[in-house]
Parts: sequence; C-alpha cells; structure tokens
Amino acid sequence: MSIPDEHPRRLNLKAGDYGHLSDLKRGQKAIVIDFHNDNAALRRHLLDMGITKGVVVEVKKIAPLGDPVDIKLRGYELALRRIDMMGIDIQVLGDRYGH
Amino acid sequence: MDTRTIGLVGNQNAGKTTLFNALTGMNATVGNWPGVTIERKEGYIKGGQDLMLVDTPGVYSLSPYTDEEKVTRKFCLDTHPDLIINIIDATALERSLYLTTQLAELNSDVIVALNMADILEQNGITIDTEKLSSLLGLTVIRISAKTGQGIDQLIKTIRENKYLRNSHLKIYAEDVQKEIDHIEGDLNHELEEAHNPKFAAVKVFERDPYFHALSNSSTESEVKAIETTYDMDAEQIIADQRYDFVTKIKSECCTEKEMPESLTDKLDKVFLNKWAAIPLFILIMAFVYFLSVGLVGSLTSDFINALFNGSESISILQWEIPFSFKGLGPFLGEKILQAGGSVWAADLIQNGLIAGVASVINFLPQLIVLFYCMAFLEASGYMNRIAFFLDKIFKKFGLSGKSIIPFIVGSGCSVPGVMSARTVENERERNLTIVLTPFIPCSAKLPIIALLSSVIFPGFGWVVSLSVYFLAICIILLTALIAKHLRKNQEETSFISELPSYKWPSQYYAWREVFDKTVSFIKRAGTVIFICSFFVWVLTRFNWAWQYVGPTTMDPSASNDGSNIGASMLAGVGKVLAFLFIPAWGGNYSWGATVSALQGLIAKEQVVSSLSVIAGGDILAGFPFFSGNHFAAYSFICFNLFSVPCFGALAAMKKELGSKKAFAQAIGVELLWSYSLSTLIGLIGWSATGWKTPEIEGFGNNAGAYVVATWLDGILLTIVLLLVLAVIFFSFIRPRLSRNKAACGCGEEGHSKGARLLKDYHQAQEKAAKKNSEKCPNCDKK
Repeated sequence: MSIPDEHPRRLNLKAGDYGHLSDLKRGQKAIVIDFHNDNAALRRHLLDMGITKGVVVEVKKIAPLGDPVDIKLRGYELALRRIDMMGIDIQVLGDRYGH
Repeated sequence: MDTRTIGLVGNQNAGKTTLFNALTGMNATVGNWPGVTIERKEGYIKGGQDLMLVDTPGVYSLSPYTDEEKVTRKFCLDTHPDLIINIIDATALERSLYLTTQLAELNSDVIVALNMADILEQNGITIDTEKLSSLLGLTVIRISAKTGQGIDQLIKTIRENKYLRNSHLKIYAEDVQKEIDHIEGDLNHELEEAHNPKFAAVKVFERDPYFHALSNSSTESEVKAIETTYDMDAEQIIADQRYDFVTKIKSECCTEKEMPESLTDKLDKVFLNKWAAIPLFILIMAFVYFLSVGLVGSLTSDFINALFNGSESISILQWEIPFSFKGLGPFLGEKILQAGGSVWAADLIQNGLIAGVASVINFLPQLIVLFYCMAFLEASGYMNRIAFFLDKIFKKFGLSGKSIIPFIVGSGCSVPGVMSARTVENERERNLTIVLTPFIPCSAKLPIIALLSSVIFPGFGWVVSLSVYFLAICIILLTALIAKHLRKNQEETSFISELPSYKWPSQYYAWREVFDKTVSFIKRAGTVIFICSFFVWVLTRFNWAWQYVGPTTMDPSASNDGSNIGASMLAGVGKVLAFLFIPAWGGNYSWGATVSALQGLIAKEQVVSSLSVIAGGDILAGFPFFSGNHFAAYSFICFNLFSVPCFGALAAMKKELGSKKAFAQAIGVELLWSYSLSTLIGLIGWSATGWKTPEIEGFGNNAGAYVVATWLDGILLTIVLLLVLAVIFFSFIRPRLSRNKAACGCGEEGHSKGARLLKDYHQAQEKAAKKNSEKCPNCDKK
C-alpha cells in the first residue's frame, strides 16, 4: 500500500520512517514497499531490474550534479533519475553504520 | 549433418560477446558498457560446422524496451533455438537468474554458464554449482569467458548432448501456478509446441499486449480475482514471484561475505566526485588528444611525410631536425623520367597517387593511439560513468545521458557510433542522437583537424584538436536544444542503467580492436582514396579539351614547373562554387579548398588527399591562406566537421532513423551548421584582414560577385544567430524568471533549487494521485 503520498519531499529520514526512494541520503538503506508510477513501460522495466516489493536498496553514489542516483540492490548497482525514484515508496532501515 | 542453432542469451554486460569469441574463435567487439552488441551475430562453435552459435544483444527480461532488445526476444520466441546458453554474471546472481526463469519457460533447452567465476572470490561470494543446478533443474557450468576457464567443458557438454532437458520449473505460488497451468491447457489447443505455450500462458496472465489475442473473458476474471488476493497487478505478481523464487535459490546455494570497500567504490570516489568528475572527464579527453595528435602525431607525421614525399628536415614537437631523404614519390618520379617516361606519368605517380594516399596514411600512427585509448575507455567501465554524470545536463537539452556513448564511440568512426545509439530507450532522444553523432570528429576527419591544428597553434596542435571536440559537443547540445523547442509534446523519459564494476581491460581484445580498425583504415586508403586521388589528378591535370595542363618539369629547383592547373576541369567547376565560400575561407577565393571540402561527402579522408594532389604534395605551400589566416584554417575544419558525413555514415543514419523525412531533416541541419558556422568564423578572419578584397581572376580588383556572396551570407547568418539566441533565451532565461516569481509567492523552500524540486515533486504527486485514487482507498497506514 502506498503510504507517504501526501508528504512533501522529506529530508533527514530516520530508521523506520516512510518516504520515497528519492528522499534517501547516501549510505541509507531502505525496503521497497510500493510503487505509484503511472508509466507502464517504466514500471515494467523497474520490476525487471529487480525493484519489487520487499527488496532492500541502498543509495551508493549520487551523480556530481545531484541526479541520477546510483542504488545498490540484489548485489548490483543501478542508476536511476530522481523523478523516477519518486514513484517508489520505501521504509528506511538505517544506514550502513547502523543509525 | 544437421546444423543445430544455439543462442547465447544473457544480461547486458554479462560477457556474452567474450564468450562468443571464446567459443567460436571469432573476434567481435567487446566493451564494458551495457549494449555493446546491437545486432545478432552468428558463428560456428570451434571444431565443426554443426553447431551454429548466435550472439544476441543483452536483455534483463524477455519484455523488451529498446530495439536491440527486441532482436533478442524475437530470436528466442520465433526461431526456437535447439539450445540456449544462458550466460550469467555470478556477481549479480539474482538479477541474472530472473532472466533464466523466463528462458526456462521456452521450449528450448537451457544451459546456464556461470561467468566471472574468476572474480567471485575477490567479491567474497561462494556458489555451490551442483546445488544451483539441482534447484534450477538445468545444467550449470562454471566458466570464465575472459580467462577461458571452463570453456572446453562447456563445448564438450554441448557436443555430447550431456545436459539436462528443460523440465519447466514450477516457479510461482500455488494459486498463480494453477491459473497459469490452466491458461496453458487452453492454449495447447491453439498453439503448437513451437510457439512456447508455457511462456505464452504467463504473458497472457500478465496481459502482455503482444499476447492479448489469446486471452478471453473467463481468464480475465480469474486473473482479476488473483490480483485482488495479492493486492498487486498481474505483472507485479509475476515479477515478484519470479524474484522470490530466485532469492530462495540464492539463499540456498550462495554465501556472501561482508567485503571491505571495493576498488570500484574507491575509484568512483574520485571519478564520480562532486567537484572532480567533470574536470576529470575533460582531462581524460585532453590526455587522449595530447597522446595521439600531440605526442605521437608530431613524432611521426613529418617523418612519414618525408618517407613518401621527401624532405630536407623534419620538425618534432618544437625542434627542427635535419633529415635529408629523397622519399618514395620523388624517387619513383625520377625513375620514370630516367626510363624515358613523360612528365605527366611521373606527375601522376608522384603528385597524384603517392601524395594522395600518403597524406592520409600520414595520420595512421596517431589514429592507432586514438583507437587504443577509445578501446581502453570502452572496456574499463568508465563509459557508463560518463553517461551517469552527464545525464542531468543532457536531459536539459533533450538528450539522454546515454547519448554520450555514441558521441565517444563516434570519435573512432561514425558508423558504429550511430548504431550504438540504439541503447537510448526513448525514440525521440535516440533519433536526435543518431542525427548528431556524425558531428563528432571521427578518425577520417582527424587528418583535416590535425593538419590545420598544427598551423593554427604550432607545437600545440592537440589543444586545437581538443577544442574542436568540445566545440562539436557544444554544437550538438545547441542543436538538441533547438530541436527540443521545435517539438511541442515533451514526453517523460527515463534513465535506467547498470553501473558496471571497473575492469582492467583485456589487452588482447583492446589490441585486436585497434588492429581491425587500423586494417579497415588502410583498406580505405588503398581503395577509395587511391581511386579518388586518381580522378582528382585527372580532373586537375586536364582541361575540358582533354589537353594536359599539369607541370611540364619535375625538377623541384625550377622556379616555375610550367603547370596551369587553374585551367583544369575541376578548377572550372571550383571557380564557380568558390564564390559561395569566399566568406568561409576568410575572404579568400580558392577553388582548390572548395572542391576539396566538397569531396568530403565521399570520404572525409579525401579532403586532405585532394588538397595534397592539387598542391602537388605540400599542402601548406599550396594553400598559403591557411597559415596566413588562422580563422580561415579553423573555419575549414568546421566546415568539414559539421558537413554531411561520408556515404557510410549516411547509410547507417538512414537505416537507424527509418524515416525519409527525418533523414532529409538531418542532412539539412548538417548543411546549415557547416555552412553558417564556417562562414561565421571565416568572416571574423576576413574582418581581421581589414576586409581585403579577394583576388579573383577575370574580375580585377573591383569584383562585384563576392559582394553579393557576402551579403547573402550575412543575411543567412543573422537569421541563424537570431534563432539560436531566441532558443537560449526561451529555454534558460525565461523559465528561470517565471520560476523565481512562483517560488517567492509560495515561500516554502527558498527560491530557486528547492522550489523547483518541490514543483517537480508536486507534479509527480498529482499524477500519482490521479492514478492511485481508485486503486487504494485506504492509504493512511502510518
């Protein structure tokens, strides 16, 4: 179910918070809980790349100009634009240092 | 003996082409960026003509997004290969096996080739191959395509048919599986085995539009019921359960150790650093040009010129070194005269054929270095990083970050550059990339650029060459911007790309690629350029009455060689066209430069070759205005850089664009840029001479025609400039003004950047809300 739709862009998400994939900072990990993307082809593509409900993602690298963002999931790294990441709902798990 | 068809299928960048080369002993291009292979390639597996191997473009799934991915889907579904070798990147097991679950639904047998076995250990991963095999119900063979480990075993297994038959695994949860089996049962009446009923059943369940005709209303209602139970749509259920299946397999046969920060991450801290990334990219390109055009070019070009055309001394970097050498051309010319041959025969050999071909071969050493640098960059994994950090800029101009890959590949040759544009998903972005790729200075344009660069900035010609590369990128972006504004509907595009790990390129493949490109360059010089040189010689040495007007003496010390090539046929044509180029050549009336530039339409190498034949060997002496007016030299470079590409590139563009209208537009854009840009630069050069009146034969000093030409150019340029300025204003300045106003009003997050993000965000939200309003009535769980 999508939860954080009404929220504006949220910064400083902490473990347990809900948000969008695009809100995460470098090093934060999160679990994907839903999509609300209206572009069928993009949605299909993301599913095929392994962004399904329950998958754990980590923001690894951010492009020098702030977009796109490189996320690690299922043992590999995938670059996505922020605008496409806004359609993916997540719950923050913490960062790699356990915060 | 029957030939069996074997498909090689796998994710992008999984090493398919390396394995293809290892299995067949052939030599196809290998790179470390997703999408190197854009068309299917065929070859026989070593040791016979009975096993036909087909290399396909990489896919992540059998639901395709780009044209080259459709090639793979079509191959798997329609040609029903006897066997599919599914190559798997062992370091990204889950994503790779996701494709395997789809392949296992086809009516072909599947062997899993577990690639990159050699780097598993350094990634802290161990995989139990036997267990993986039993869980998948497929034969799994551990290989390393790069080192050749396991390849023999793979070939042996295929030859001896010792692999497991496709047992069609049960992947899905019980209720879903039941429904799919049910659909399959229905389909079995309608479809033959060859049509992959199992695969079709899943596609019908997913409501794939391609399989829509096979669906019926009862199926539809049952799928709806399952969707309600899972609270997901059918597509999502299938993807979800495939990944669940794969994750389970992975947890049972694979262990991963926590590893310290990988080398790739360390390198990315530098190459993707916020401040250093773009300067580093520029530095890397500068280094490539310094090494090829600067260092190697200056070390070799005079020397090779001496070998063919003879010299007294050669200059290396800034130094002048005495080097007295007769040269092949003058040597042969002399021999012909000694043997009693006529002057025209000596001239044909010395100043026609040898000078023509030598002027191109001259640049071979620097091209080899350029080819190697490009092969190294392509194989290292850096290409995708460039696409990654330039995406944001390119997006603003209506291109994708992936467009940079054709632009870099295109610096070798436009043809593979144009073809690699297929990796760009969005059609509009792709077509734009195809049209713009030929603007990049390719290896055939390099001779023109390198030759004149050394005149413009003696000793530092590579700086000029580099400036030309970045000028090309600027013009590309500008054109893209104009195209963006000419089109009203702005569709949403996305950028989805894997970031592969860095790899130290295999020197074998890098040098093989250099070798192939070098051979094809020499072949062109020996065929196209050789023949063209001959025709140029004929056309410049004879007049319309077929009387010889070339030199009457071959003695280099003679003050006048007695030639009158100004009366030749080519000069006759050139003298008419040259009026159009008076402003472009900096106020110089030169039929030789004009006809040479126009020959670039056949092949860009032909431009220097033709200059050389017309000048009789020494281009800079024959065309003094290049050294006299640097703007004229730069404008000559620009005309050739942006003009219509060679026939080969045109054919590739036409094929990839697939529309005559788009193709015609592309040619128009190229002609417009080349003419207006070179005129603009030439006019600057002309003004620097104080608008000196060009010397035009038969017009005296009060020539009227050039004035007309200049006026026409002036009007044209004003229009182009106004257009460009308007586009810059409308795309950058005006939106910023209006945006700032809006931001001030709402007062939420300051002015520019935050507000813009917020606006984008709200737009995305509104769209999503519309879509979601019917789907999820009880949203607020938190």
